[in-house]
Amino acid sequence: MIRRIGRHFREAFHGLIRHGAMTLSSAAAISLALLFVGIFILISQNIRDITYSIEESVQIHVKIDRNYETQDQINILQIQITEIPGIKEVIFSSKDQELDSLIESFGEDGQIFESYRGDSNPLRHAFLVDVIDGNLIERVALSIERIAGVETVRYGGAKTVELMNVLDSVRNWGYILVIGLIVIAVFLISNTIKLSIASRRDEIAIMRTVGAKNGFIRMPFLIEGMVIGILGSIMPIGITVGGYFYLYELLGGFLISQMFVLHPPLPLLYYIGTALVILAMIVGMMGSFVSVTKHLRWKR
Amino acid sequence: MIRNGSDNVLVMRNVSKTYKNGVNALYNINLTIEQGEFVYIIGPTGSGKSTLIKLLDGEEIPSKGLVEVVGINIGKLRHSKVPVYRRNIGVVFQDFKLLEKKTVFENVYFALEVINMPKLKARQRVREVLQLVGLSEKANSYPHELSGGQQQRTAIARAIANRPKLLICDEPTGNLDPQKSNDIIQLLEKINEEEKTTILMVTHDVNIVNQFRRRTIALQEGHVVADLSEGGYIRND
Repeated sequence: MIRRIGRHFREAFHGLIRHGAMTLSSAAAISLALLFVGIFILISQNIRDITYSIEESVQIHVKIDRNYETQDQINILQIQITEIPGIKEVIFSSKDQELDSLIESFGEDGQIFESYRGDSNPLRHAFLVDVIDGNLIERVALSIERIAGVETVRYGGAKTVELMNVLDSVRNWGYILVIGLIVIAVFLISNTIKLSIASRRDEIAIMRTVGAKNGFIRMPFLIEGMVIGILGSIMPIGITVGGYFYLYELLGGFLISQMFVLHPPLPLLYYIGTALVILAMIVGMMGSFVSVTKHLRWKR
Repeated sequence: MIRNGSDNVLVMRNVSKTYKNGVNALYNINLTIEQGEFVYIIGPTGSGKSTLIKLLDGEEIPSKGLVEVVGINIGKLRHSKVPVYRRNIGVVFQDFKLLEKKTVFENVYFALEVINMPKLKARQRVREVLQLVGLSEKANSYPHELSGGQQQRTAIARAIANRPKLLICDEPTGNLDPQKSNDIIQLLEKINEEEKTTILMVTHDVNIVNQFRRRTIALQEGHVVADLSEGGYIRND
């Protein structure tokens, strides 16, 4: 089969040219599907990055009740919190340290709180709790709140996490759309290949009579489908790569604020380009495989 | 290749074929054809000739009984093995089935190309068989430039190019005038002799059967009604 690879390619290109219009329309179908794939990969990569950086900054702040301030009680509390599933790290922050961070957060003006240092410190001991996944934060916070000895539980960034969850589900619907488009592309390609098969019906009949193996007969059609796929991947790769570079330059690498850092274009775009070409070839070959296999099926 | 010990190219034992739609095509056929034989199968339309051919080229499997060609049990042949099995048999059709866009040479070469025969060997063999069928001069002609007889010679060349053990000819003279028909039979006899190819020719041309006497098997309504080793047409109307 490999020995005749030149023949297979020649036959494939004959087919492609013979049905030029169908070739282009199926390539266009692949293009559309892949364009969405490319965009979704870019979006989801950025969502993941941003979610990650937000989650990094999201912390649960647990204030300890004034009646639980002995070292033993604090130790027990720490163990109880650490045992909750989804906890990454629990750091103890004493009244003094809490005052430090309060002072720090007020900057220059913070010095006025220095007078509270010592026994008159009205602040509570606290735990700073990091979770593994931002999605868990609400559940973990509720669990901590139920522990005896915990006065209050606060966490920031919850709204942002919620926003990311919404984006996440948007992305999932996007994938369903992409799968639908790919199915349509496979269908269109299999129709194009059907035409190609029809115009070579006599040849195929003779091949079967003289004993050509199915794989041999199938090969030119698979190549034809693959080439349609590659043709279809040119446009979406151009748009995704060019578009993202342009957007990245235009926005200076940030979306809206410094908090949303965009994923650097390289090497991500190399991966996307490669993935799109491979996906296109697979989709093209699948479409053609469906048609040829149906045509070659023995019915006896 | 698996040989069954004897020199039988074809063995049919108690073979019946009933199609899925309930049509009975063959009843209890028993038949043995030895290597190197030249056999006519005659019978009217609907007598089961086409079904017989389909059983031999692996397109159909028997409903009952055993069909063995060159030692291979057709009934147990897996779909994926059919192509390789078919390299043991050559088939010639009434309507030639040549590719119009290919020359005589290319038509014959095509049959060897698609079974992956090395190029040089294939070219050599094409020249050889064109010589055998007397078409060396026409190697670069296209089918539409040839007479019916020449087209059928091309088809025969294609069918024997891969040196099949068994050559099945399905009404090979059906589209030819008597003179051309005689030429084709003489060519088949030559192939039978020179290439030692077993030939099974399906026909309803009484003149041929009577003129070139060979073993003749008569089919009627799915039954073998005569098997005459001395040949000649049997009237039973």
